[in-house]
Amino acid sequence: MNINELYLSAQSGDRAAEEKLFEYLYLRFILFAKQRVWNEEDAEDLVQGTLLFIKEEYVNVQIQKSFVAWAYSIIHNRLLNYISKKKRRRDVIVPTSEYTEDTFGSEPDPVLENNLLNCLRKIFAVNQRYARILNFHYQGFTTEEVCRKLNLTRNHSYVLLHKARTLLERCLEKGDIN
Amino acid sequence: MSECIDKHFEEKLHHYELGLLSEEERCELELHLLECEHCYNRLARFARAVDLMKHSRKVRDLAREMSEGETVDAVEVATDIRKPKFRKIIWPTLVPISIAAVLVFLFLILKDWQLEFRPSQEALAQKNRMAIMHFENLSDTADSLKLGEMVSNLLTAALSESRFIQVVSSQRINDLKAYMSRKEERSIDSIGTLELAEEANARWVLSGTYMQDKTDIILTMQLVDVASGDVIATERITGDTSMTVFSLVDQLTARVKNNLLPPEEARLETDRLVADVTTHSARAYRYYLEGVEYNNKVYREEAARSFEKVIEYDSTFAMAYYHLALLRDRSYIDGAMKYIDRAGTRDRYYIRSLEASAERNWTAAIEELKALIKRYPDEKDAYYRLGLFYYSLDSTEQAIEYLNRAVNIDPLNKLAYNHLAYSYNQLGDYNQAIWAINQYIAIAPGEANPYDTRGDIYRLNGRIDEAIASYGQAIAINPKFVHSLSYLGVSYLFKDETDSAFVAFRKLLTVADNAIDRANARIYQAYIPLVEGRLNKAMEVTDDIITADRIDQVSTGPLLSKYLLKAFIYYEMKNYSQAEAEMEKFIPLYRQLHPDDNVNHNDFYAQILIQNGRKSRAEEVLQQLAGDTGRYICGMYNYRYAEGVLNLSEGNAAAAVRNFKQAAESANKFSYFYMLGQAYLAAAQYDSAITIFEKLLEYYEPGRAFMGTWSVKAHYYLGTAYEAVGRYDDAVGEYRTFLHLWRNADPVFEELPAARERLKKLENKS
Repeated sequence: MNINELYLSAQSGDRAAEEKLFEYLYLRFILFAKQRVWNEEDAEDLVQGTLLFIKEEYVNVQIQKSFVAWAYSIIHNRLLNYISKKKRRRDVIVPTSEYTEDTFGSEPDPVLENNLLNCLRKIFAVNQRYARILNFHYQGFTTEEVCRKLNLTRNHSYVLLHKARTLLERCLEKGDIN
Repeated sequence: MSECIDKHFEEKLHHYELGLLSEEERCELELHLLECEHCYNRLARFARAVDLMKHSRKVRDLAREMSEGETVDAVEVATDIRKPKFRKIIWPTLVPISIAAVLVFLFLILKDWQLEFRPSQEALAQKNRMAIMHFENLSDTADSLKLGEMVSNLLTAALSESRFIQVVSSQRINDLKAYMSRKEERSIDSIGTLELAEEANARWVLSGTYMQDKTDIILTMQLVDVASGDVIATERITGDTSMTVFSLVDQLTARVKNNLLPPEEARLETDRLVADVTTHSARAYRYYLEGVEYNNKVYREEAARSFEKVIEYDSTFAMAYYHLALLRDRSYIDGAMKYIDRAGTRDRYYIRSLEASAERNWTAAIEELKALIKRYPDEKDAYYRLGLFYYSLDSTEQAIEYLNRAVNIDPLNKLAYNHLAYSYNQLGDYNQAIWAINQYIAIAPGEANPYDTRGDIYRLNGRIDEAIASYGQAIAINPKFVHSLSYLGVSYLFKDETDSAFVAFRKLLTVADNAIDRANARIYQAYIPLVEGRLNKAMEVTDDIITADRIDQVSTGPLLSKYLLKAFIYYEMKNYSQAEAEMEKFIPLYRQLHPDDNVNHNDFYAQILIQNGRKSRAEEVLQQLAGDTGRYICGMYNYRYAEGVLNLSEGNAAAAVRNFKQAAESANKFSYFYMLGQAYLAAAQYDSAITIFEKLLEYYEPGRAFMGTWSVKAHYYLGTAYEAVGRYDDAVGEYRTFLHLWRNADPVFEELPAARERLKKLENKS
């Protein structure tokens, strides 16, 4: 059952379909939010707020195009709001005593963690720069900083990063980089 | 799994995940992801891996290992480049042997030259020495939330991970400031940054500001070349308030390295996030700094409370456990070891050293600290702790060497002077001991501790009146100074001023503010009747204080020591079966409390068994001690003592002398010297007996008060030794002293009528 079918079933009162629909949306929205919001708690709050709004509205609202487009427009706008709010908050006094601290979510999946470690070792064995660029990128270094550290041009760094990521994904998928 | 409905999108997945798409492309792709199961699954799977890349400690550690592995290789490669390559010999047959010999010779010279000019990482770091000054908090000049302090300390922690930069610790900067201010009689504020950096022998000085406006945090820093005063770089890092101070410091660290290190070295550096080598909690770090500050002021209780707070906010902060292990009890070391991976390189050395010392692995404990000072030569605490370890191991000369290095780094290092005083005294250098403690007094004339230590030095050198005066000064400054109160009482006790001793011991009890301290204070009350030879009274007092301990619900060491005291009193009453019963009660409880100690107190237990006629059981204890001599340092001297007692009981005085001598050489215990004196008397070696008993009577330790009856009997036995070598006047003096001290003693002691008889005989003779 695709999303639009789930929507139609849920709208007609199928509670199980509704549950599935929101589960489906949650998984995707959280993925989108984490792409743009570094702080995981903020990302989680934002998605929860969006889903709550959709749940209250989807039964009554007149959806012109498709449910997918409507739901996406909500998360998209909220994400843009969040980002612009961050900029606007320059006018708000924030107490200096508190910081948002890194959040780590739930315990890591040990199987995935193990696979990832193996893959990184394999990539390192093949090309050390691939492993290093992945490491720098995901630790939050800017492209400029990565370039400086690895003595690369910007374009070259994109190429390396893309290759490294492809290799890592393949390895995670197949267990090997060949 | 179904295929993607539009391959065009699938190709963009990587770019999306890497954040390389435009806003429009992003929207298109996200809409696609809502409908395409295949693309979503691909991305979701990878997103989980990305999460791990960002947050998994194991992954970060692997990344670090990879970088380290690469570093080694790279250094080797760099070294290879410097190695002169020999041109391949094209016509070997044409080269005369003599030229080959010259080449070999040249090779050897060149090889040496190459080694000499290859800079080690330590040498590089030493060249790249940097002082980090306090970051000024422009938003709050008082820095009430320690934000400026946090930044400078975090930056120090982060840059200390570098093998190419040697960071002068903030502690060292503060020490230097205080020293310069004191030495030159200037206010701390008048000491300039460059002046300070020059004094710290730094090549660069880094200073900066912290500012938080409505939503942004701004860090600025300025790097200055100390020699020329030129500004090498300025940087500004801005982040919004959702960012942590830790991530801002990470950025600043990267910029500092990029400014200072050649690209090759910067590339070789491993990158650990500062939060990974400290804590992820700003609150925990703030309490940590507070604890360190208290610790430096020797406010132990306040420091411990701060470190406990740290753990409330971050239960994985390894260094908080480390400090608590030093301040509270050693069990905290388990926490430090558990989270050692979350500590910085320097801190790991400290933790491993403490763990090794807790396991009595002194070699490892010392090696860790030596490795630490090799990499971080400014670490005064490492020198100080090395001094303590060597002192504990009776390597006093080495202890003095390291303690002196600690005071060279920080000439206001009070605790190092304190231990220097004890170390010099241990070495028999009384004048240097007094010099060291007077240095401490000059630094902190308002503190009780240096006067207390000076009292100890006087007392240990037999200058009991000066000791009493110095302890009095300590108590005048701090009336609750327990150590001074107890030693003041003990000093009075040995001066036969029992009333003053009683007052001091009562005071000791009243200042104790917890059950354990009270239990510790109570035992002194039993010493007075014991030294007076009033055994029944001593037993009565001991029973009373045991009851008081029980009411206070004390069941640990302080209570057990009273069972041991009872055993000794019974022994002195010649009630050996009761003494044995007390020891059998005491030893299992002691072993339970000290599961690693299977040896201590078996010496006295064997002595009681022998006196009680249970020689075979005593031999069993001896055999067990013999088996433990290799495992425990104290095993050997416990064994020697027990063997000596057995020798004496069998009339083999020469063997007893040998055994007691070995025991006394290993452990400076009153009982060992006392029994050695007895053995010398039995072996008719009177001059040696005189030396030992004279020494014993200048031994002003609580251990002597615990064996208070032996302490007084030493006068009698010294008298017999004098008498034996014809020093009758000295003998008379000792007998009189003995009889005077025991004027109210119980009549149970055979030495009393013997002394009276001997005295009478000598008086008649004269």
